[in-house]
Amino acid sequence: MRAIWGAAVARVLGALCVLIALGAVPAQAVDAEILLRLRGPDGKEVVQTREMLDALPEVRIRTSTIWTEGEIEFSGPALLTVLKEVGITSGRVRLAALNDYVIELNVADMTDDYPILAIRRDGKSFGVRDNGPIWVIYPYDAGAMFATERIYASSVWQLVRIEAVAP
Amino acid sequence: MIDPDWVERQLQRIVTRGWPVLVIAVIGLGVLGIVGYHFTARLEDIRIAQSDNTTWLIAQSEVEALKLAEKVIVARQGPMGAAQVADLRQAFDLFYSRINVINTHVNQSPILTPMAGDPAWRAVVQRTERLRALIDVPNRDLTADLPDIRAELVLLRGPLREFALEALSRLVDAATARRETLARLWLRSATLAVTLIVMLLVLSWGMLHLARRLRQRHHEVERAQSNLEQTLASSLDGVIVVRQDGTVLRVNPAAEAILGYTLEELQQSRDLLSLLLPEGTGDPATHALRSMILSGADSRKEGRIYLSAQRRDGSSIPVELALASDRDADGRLIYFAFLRDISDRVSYEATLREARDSALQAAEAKARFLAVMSHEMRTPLNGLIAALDLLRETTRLSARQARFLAVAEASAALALDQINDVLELTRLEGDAALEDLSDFNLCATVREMAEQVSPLAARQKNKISLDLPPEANCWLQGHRRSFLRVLLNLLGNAAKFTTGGTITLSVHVLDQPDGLSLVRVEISDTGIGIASEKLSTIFEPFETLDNGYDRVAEGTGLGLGIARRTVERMGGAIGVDSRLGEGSTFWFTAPMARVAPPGAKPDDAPDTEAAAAPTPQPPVQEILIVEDNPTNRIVLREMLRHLGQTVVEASNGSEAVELARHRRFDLIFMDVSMPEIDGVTASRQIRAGGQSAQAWIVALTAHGLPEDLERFRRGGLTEILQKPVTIAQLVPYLTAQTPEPAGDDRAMPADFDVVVVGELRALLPAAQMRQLLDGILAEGDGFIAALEAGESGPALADRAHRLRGAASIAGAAGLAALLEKVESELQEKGVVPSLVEWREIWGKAREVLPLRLLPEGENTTKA
Repeated sequence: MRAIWGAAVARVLGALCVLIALGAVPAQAVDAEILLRLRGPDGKEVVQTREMLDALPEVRIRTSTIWTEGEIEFSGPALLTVLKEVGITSGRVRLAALNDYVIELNVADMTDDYPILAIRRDGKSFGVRDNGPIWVIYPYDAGAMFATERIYASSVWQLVRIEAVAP
Repeated sequence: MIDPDWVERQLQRIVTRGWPVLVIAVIGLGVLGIVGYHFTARLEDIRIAQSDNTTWLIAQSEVEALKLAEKVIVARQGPMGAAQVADLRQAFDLFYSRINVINTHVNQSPILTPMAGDPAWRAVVQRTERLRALIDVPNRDLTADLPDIRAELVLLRGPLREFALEALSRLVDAATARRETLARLWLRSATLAVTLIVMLLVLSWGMLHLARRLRQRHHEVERAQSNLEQTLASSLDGVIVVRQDGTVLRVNPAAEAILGYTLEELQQSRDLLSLLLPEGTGDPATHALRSMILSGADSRKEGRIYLSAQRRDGSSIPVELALASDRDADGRLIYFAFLRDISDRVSYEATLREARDSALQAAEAKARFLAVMSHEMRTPLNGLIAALDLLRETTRLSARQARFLAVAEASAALALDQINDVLELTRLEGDAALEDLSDFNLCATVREMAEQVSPLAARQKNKISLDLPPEANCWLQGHRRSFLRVLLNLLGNAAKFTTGGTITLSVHVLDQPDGLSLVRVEISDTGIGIASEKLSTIFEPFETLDNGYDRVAEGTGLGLGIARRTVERMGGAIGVDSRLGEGSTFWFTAPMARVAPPGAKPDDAPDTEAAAAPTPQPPVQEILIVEDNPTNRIVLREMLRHLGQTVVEASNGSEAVELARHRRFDLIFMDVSMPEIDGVTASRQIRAGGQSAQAWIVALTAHGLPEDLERFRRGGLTEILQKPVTIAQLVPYLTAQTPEPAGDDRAMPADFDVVVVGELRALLPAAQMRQLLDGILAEGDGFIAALEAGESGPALADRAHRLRGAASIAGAAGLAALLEKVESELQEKGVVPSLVEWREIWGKAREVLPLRLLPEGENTTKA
């Protein structure tokens, strides 16, 4: 019971922090559309705009998915690259979607090749109706290891927030 | 020592037998592999999530719809700010994206595809599209659309719920089905695995069993091998197992001992055959074996071979070899040679052979000694008989002395008979041939013989009954004299041993397939018979000497022995059937050839001895022979018959007197010394009256001294003929009614006793005959030399005596007679014989003696 209560308090605190952080967002950053908010292990919040993400090395994955029809070339920076930007190199990270879908990933499971934060489908950016604008993508066709429930669950659509999980 | 080939064969057998199990195992493994593959694939299916958490997605779509509805409600409550518009749009975008994804699932997922045409889902899609149309308007128009949006969302709720429930149900069913499939797969795999495990267990058990059997078999083979080793090791026979190429596989200790080689030496030898059976032994058996082995013949030769093998030290050893052959595991020919050292046996055999040879030689020497002794004893016996005869004739004896004299005479006669029999037996047992074949009438011959025996039979009050079937009246060619001898012996025996009974003589002639006729003569009597235990030995010479049969009457006991040998020499058989006290039946057979009767010849075929010397045919006269000795009688009769005379015989003086009284005889040969009435008395009685009172009576005597002649003359005996009689001596008595008076001149040095000479030649080998001849010649030369030297008196008489002895042994009867005269004249009157006359006599004798005594072809070598 104590653990549940503890977890609830942590959530409330977490939500407050988010509200505080939103309030602290600089004006010029808000003008450029913020696609992703990241919070490093030190609690410092970093936002990523499309331009910022575009600036990072691009990784392309051409694959089919169980949610789409036909092969699609997804492209965008590797998740690991983005995490490094905010100083996350180990431990676990929590990914949250627009609809409050949340999942925790192990940084050690990530490589420079996958997963990527796809910001383009077939070279074009895509919106919320097409599970965008950021979609965590694995090379599903590359092998059975990418065709698991775990991978599918990790393929977060409409990614909006990443935060390091306190150890 | 296990043969590796054998093990391999056993393994092969096991493998061959185990192949079904192996096939089953392979099939089972294959099936397991397939199932495993299927299982892995299924597992992969499970591992690979074909869909996102679709249920969650579908459920979430309702949530998103509700969130959207909430935003709409919020928007309708007050004037819409930019944030609210953004929120509304974002809420719709989210909802829309979910519907999009679900649509993709419905189009792609095998589970949800059937729902593509579902009315509820179609309604959802249509209303979502309608919502999008309502929302995708400029912000200022949005407020106006809110009621419609609200209405659409309300209408959307029902179909969305319906679809969600239906989809969930389908997903659950699919999951259940997948689990069941998996469960079935599990079950199938487990079953298969268990089956395979069981099979593997069975297979393992089988292998274990086979392994155990193999081990057991190994053990048995080891035992058998060990037993064989022990057998070979302890065998007294040498055993060598060798391949055809000469490779020695095994040698047992006995073989090593016999041959002197060790196994290693034999194995290392390049050429075993030459080692053990070298070419040069000259033993044909060894040579034959060599060539057989070299030719590679698969010998099935049974039995044992005797050959000589070579030992290590080079010495030869006689061995008995038994050879067997077989094939080894590779089908190569191998020989098993069993060797036995037979040196001991060979030496024993040699010793035995020597012993036998020397025994045979000794026996032969004894037989020859016996023969020579008998032969030499005959002359003194003749002298003894003559002396006894003289004694009887010249001396007045008291009754007692006469009885003694009779005993002495009988004993001497018996001794002479025995000696004659022994000589005859020896002759028959030797290589001397029977007399030559001659033609004779069977019926007539048998009848005559019966007649001849009838006086003897009559004395014992026996009747002789003849059974001569018509086929017996035929002419045969055979050994007539031998046939007669046997017949006479058997008839004589029957007559002797039967008293007041009947003697049946029957003759049968059986034609044989070989063209000859078998003459079978049976002589049955009703006499004393023979005990059954003696029947088997009765034909053995000397055996019966001590037995009763021959003891009853006088006889040598050799008669039946001679008869048997004679019959055997004729190619026939002899036998007897007898019961003690009831009588005996003797029979004998002789194969003879039938011949055509001689048309003109009135009499029997001439005897061979006579045929040898051509003689003039004197006129036919009626002749009576009086002679108690049957042999002498037969001989004389045969001689006379040969000369074409009519002959009647009498066996004693009274019989002769009786015959002479009733029949007129021209000539009577009278034996001087006979039991009861002697020759002189009988002659006197014949002269006294009767038909033959004028007959010319010739005395027969073994001795011919001049004073006897005078005594015989007084008794009515005209002439004296000295025994043994020859045909040449007989002829003058037949050709002239008044022959030259018997005198010393009549004795010619060329006169020989053919019987004696024949016997000598049969008895003595040529070398001894030559020795005999040389002895006579030396004596004769010595005698002449003594005459020339003017020797006289007892010394010269002694020489004459020695020469006479030698001459009479050799059968030179004429010479002996002349010398007898010289001897008596020298002894009684001191008259020295004429040198001139004796030179002539001796010269002639020297010419004749080698011709008579030596075989053809040898008599010219030393004349």
